[in-house]
Amino acid sequence: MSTDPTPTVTEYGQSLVLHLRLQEVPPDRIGEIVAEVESHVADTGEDPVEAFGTPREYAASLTDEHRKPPWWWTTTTLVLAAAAGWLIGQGAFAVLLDEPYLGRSGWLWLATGLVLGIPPAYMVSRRAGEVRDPRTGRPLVRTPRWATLVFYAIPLLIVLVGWAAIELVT
Amino acid sequence: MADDELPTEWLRAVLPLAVLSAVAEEETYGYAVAQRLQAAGLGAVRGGTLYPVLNRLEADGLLTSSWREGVGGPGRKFFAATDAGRDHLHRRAAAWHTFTERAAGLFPSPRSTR
Repeated sequence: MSTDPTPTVTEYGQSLVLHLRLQEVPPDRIGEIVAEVESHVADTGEDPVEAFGTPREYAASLTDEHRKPPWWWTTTTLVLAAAAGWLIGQGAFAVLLDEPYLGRSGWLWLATGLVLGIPPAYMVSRRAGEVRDPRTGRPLVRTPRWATLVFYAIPLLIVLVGWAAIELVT
Repeated sequence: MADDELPTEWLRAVLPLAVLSAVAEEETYGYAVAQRLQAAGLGAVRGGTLYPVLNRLEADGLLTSSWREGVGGPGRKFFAATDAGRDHLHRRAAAWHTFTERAAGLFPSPRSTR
């Protein structure tokens, strides 16, 4: 039996977080499930794989509790995200080049893209929420601060590089 | 117990009620529930089987849970039966006794040569 007062997340716990993420389990439930495993093996001294199966197996066994969204839901989200990205990109180019796109102002396409992007952005933010340990309130998995920056910086950089290239050519 | 090799489907069928019964005895945590079931002769219940049952009972409103700091150890998730859980337990336990008596009436007795 462990007497460590500060729970630490084991390699098994980290892997379980990943597999539960892949099953699209909400972050607050992931925290509960991982803490249950960590707490149980701390009490029993058992090997987590013997007590719960591999992280992949245990995450898959919880599909009764957490059903994945239907395929059409995922497809709709992906199509909306792709359309939003395309319109934001085209709109941004049109605004930067000060030219209309398909006869309409770049700002209109930009705004349409942003509105279309709201549902997929909401879905992604819900799934990507931080997983916290219910015992301590601390994050179970550390997400580097630069990850969010990179997420937004890459598309912005693509638009700016494209715009700069067009400006140089013309 | 004369025959320790109980069919797993029997355990699967009775596990939710057995877990609810163990929690209804006193507020307790997962490992203690597993020990209680083993002491009752139901065999070793793996964590991977036990916690989904506890969570399903909680989702059904039959249990509540709360995390508490352990004495010198990591936090434990304690479970307690709700009023609905106790009511469910009493009704299902009565139905279980009726069911097992009826089923037993069909079976040959252990001494029978049938």
